[in-house]
Amino acid sequence: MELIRDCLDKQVVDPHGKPLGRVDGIVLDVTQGKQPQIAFIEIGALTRLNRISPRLCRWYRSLALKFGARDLESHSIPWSKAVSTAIEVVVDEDAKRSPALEFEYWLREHVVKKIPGN
Amino acid sequence: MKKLLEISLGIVTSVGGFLEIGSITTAAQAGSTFGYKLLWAVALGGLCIIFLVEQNGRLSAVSGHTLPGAIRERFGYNYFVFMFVILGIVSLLVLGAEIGGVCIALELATGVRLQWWAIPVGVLSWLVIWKGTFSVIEKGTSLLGLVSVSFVVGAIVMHPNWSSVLRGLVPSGQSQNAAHYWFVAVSILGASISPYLYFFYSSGAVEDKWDESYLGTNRIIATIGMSFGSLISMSVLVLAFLVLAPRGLHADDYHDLALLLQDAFGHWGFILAVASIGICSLGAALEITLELAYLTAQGWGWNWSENVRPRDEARFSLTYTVVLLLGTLLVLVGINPLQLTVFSMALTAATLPVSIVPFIFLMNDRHYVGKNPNGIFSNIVVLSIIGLASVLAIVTIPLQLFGSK
Repeated sequence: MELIRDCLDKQVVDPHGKPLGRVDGIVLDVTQGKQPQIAFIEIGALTRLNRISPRLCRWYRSLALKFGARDLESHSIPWSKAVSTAIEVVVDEDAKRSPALEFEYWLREHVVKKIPGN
Repeated sequence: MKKLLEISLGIVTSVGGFLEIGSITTAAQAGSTFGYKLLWAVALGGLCIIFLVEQNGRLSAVSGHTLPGAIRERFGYNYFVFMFVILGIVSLLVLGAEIGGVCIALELATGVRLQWWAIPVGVLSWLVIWKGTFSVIEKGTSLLGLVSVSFVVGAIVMHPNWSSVLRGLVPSGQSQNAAHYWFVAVSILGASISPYLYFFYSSGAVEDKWDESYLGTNRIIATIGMSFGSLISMSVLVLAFLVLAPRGLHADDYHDLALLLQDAFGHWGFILAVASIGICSLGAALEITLELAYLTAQGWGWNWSENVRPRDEARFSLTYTVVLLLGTLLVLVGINPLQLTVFSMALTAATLPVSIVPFIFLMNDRHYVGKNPNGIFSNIVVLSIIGLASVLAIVTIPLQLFGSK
């Protein structure tokens, strides 16, 4: 597998095909004398911003903390949970309980459900 | 039989959904100022959009990927964000122009100033998207948009000099007022080769669950649908020459657009022209709103579909809500919709390379298109479109400064 071509930026879905996000980052486990292994894939704004510019990422973090954000870290999914990597990266993590969708569920409960006809 | 019905419906959808305030305005300005001389630009734009739409449909049918998703995967997050920002700004301006187009039609029909219509039009558009499904939005507005075929009938009824019309299909220069001539040519191309059209088409192919068995359908819909769509734009240009030019009008005021069918059909002509402007602009406004929400959701990997309830895709539904709010604001603050239209069409032309360059890579990448990559001919066409788009990107800003009225 070519990591950049076959994994990075791919759609991540749960076993039922529900989207969790895209592979924003890949964390490798590098041990001397061993072949590097994928440890985690990451989904989150900080990882994405860090790819554009680490400075932008630091600036976003400090601004978000100032506005009272608590859990800023990107969501890491252990590579051992990856089931397949064909068109999408299928992971063994239920979308209904995934921290990757915390903001989606917050918006649903606090905004969309308050709009008639939702 | 089912396939035949799908093909017919697809063609009708493409024809009815082709015209919008941008193509009407730019074609009318071209015809009223330069006669048939710019027909080639409409034809060239039509030809380009046929190829781009066909390739987008093929990409989505074979790979199951939409264009934004494939661009992020193949070109990475940074390129995607770059494209997103540029397309986002241009599409928002075009959305403002389309909402303005609906408001223009309502002002022409009722006499109530267009700014008063901005909020009702914004709310109506939002309600249609919030409550409607993909096919209601796509097919409903397109079927109603078939009223724009009246421009073709109108042009035939007016008995244009067909040999002059045919001569207009051959590109020619212009010695007098050359900067304005080329500016209008660029605006026509920007209105014809609209990224929202092929981005929306690509999402539609996934929404409608196309697979490889749809490749023939896709080719027929793209070719026939977009050809007939271009024919409507050409008819507007012909009518503008025959109706507006003799009156000394140049379609720089939206009241001029209501006259396009007057000589052909009398009072009915006014009603048909206003209905066409209103319905087609509304259809385009809905498509652009959805296109922006699709682009965002697909790029970031959210839930997206116009076929599920808003609560099941909170980020997607709030994105189109905010997009519509911003588009409506552009009309509400009093920007002249016609000036916004011409400006946004030229800007569309200038930014085309950003969304077209990825095509040549994706359409030759067997990870996406499997056994159906571009042939040599299609690749030459896409490379030519990229060349054309690059020239447009370079010349648009000087033309905007010196050639716009």
